[in-house]
Amino acid sequence: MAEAGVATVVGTGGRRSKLFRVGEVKPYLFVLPFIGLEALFLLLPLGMSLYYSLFDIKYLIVGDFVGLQNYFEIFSNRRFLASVGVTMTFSLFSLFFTFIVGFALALWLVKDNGHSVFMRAIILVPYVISMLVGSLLLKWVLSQDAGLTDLLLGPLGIPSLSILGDPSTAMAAIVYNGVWRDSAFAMMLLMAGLKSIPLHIYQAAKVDGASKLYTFWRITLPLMRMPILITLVRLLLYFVNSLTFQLVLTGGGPAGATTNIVLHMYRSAFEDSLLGLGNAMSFVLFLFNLAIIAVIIILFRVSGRTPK
Amino acid sequence: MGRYYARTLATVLAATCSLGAIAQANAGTVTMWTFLNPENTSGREVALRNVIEKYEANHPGVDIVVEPQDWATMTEKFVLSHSANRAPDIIWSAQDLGLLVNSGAVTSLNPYLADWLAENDDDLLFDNAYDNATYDGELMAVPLFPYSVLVFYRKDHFAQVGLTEDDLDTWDGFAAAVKKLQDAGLPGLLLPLSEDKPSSTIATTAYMDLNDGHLLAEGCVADFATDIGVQALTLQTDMIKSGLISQEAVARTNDDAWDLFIGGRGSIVPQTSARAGALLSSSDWANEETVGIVPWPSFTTDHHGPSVGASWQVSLWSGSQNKEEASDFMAFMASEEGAKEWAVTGEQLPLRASVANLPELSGGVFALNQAASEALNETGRFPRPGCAESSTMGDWNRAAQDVLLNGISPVDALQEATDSTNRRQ
Repeated sequence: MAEAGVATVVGTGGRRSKLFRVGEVKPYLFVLPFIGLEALFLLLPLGMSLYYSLFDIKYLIVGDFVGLQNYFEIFSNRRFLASVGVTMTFSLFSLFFTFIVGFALALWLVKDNGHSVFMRAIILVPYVISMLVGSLLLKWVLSQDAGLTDLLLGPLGIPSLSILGDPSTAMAAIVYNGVWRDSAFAMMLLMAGLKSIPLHIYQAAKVDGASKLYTFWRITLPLMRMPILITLVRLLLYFVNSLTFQLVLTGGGPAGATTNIVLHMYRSAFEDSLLGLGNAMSFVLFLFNLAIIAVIIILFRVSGRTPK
Repeated sequence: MGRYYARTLATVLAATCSLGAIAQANAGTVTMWTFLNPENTSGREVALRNVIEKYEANHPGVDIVVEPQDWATMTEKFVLSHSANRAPDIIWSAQDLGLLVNSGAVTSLNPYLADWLAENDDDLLFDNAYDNATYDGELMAVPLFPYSVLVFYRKDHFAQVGLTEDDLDTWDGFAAAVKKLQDAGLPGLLLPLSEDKPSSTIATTAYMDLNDGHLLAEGCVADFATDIGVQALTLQTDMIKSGLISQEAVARTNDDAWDLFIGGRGSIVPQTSARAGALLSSSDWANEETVGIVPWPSFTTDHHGPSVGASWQVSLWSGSQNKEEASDFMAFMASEEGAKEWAVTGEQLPLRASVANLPELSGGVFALNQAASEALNETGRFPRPGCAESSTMGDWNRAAQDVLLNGISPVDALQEATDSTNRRQ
């Protein structure tokens, strides 16, 4: 039995070691409610999702236990596999352009003068607009029947085209939607990082005669490694798990060209009422997210910095 | 410890007595979930308020309590509430009756309404809606707002190019009419071909026409990858390839097509008849002189094409403690008095022959309702009871998209649509 007031565990060598004294346990007790909430709202649904993915569930009625059949079904489904490709295409393109635009904006507006503050406010407008409203607005702007594209492109000699009716341009439209909206978010994260770089380093570089490009490559970028990685992780997870852009702007079409995993899962679970299949997809998506996090951790290690 | 048990026992007894008192108090209260809010001012909502007031005036011991719900999630929420034994007495549903029946959440109305139905059978319209609500001889719902997807067209545009509604009797005439409108620089056909929020299209209507009026065979089995399926799908894809339908249609939902029509961007659009009133109230150009409703075309002139029918209807919770009162109120909603309210105030299709000929129902939206009512009675084909068909239109749209944009053969595309539809049954 453990001594009163001391929590003990069996060490790897088999001997009993004192790890926590009362004072050391207390902080963990404060954290415990939040771990409980996390378990309640994350681990429990995840466990339930895994459990129900093993059943045939139609219209909220739990049917037969089918084992891994739902998983076999989704991996033999051409459309699901296509949705994995769509997810990767959308996420990587959106990530690339959002990051580039966000970083450029952060560099441009990092100084706290009146112009920067005003421009930051303007740039944040797309981000504070509801994703649903923004996507719906863009849908009508891009409409061939009633939108602005023909008016804007016509004078340039570009013939009328259906942006949302063509698979390649529809993908470009949702990438644009993501970039338009979330560059501001990237800007905020990266700007916080830029502001944390001590000013005297730049002053020293200037005294040494370093050019602006040299300063950027040799000072800004190395010192921004952590904020950049955090921004990339945050944006990538966000784009991989996005639903609203696809659901509202393109409806996943045309011909499945913009149907990502989440939309495929949403349709299976809530439109087709195949909840067993939808749960299996959600669990696969969870593993997909874990894989992304694993890649990011590897990147941290490769760069020689581990997150604290 | 003894005092603890005594307290616990007292608490349990008090709670039990309270529950009993609540149950007694609720004996005359009929709760109902619907997408309508009787506190609001739209026609249907005012009609519901009037119906309730009249019923309560005739039945002083009964209170009708409406708990408005979001229509899109109401059925699923009801099934969950049924599982927790806390559902309302009456539930409204449109295309989800199969879910309600299969989950055991609603009960047969035969024990309560069989006599009422026999007495009113001659006066009640839309037999096909009642057939659709009957499972194995048991009436599971009372239809209130029948509707079907029909063809809306611009009378004024047609007149400009010398077309009449008779030109829409056949598919050949339909295509020629669209061409004539386009050639005259007038807006043409708006078709919703997105997977998202789909509706009836040329392909599904032509297929139903060639398949005895049904999308699915007995037992809710789909078999689209056949010669008639290919014929129906090709009819539609050829119209897109020839430019009669814009490629933008593949990105258009039913709501998009309708919004464009209201905005004057189309001359022909398929749409549910229930939206006729909204069209007249939300556009400055629409009235009975400028817009008409006709049935779908067919391959020959001897009949019109079938239209997919549906109905908002009311069902009785299987766990209700007030089945007698609730079913009586349901019958009242479909009574002559109730039907008059829905038709006149609510601007819905008249449920009864005795109401259909009321002098109040003339001109304006009532003229459109009259046309829709005739078309629904003549061509309305309700889904087979228990079949999940609402997403099948999306499967057909996906098949059309795959043929047009992914180069998949019509047979293969329709086989995927067949598999998707059958997976849901």
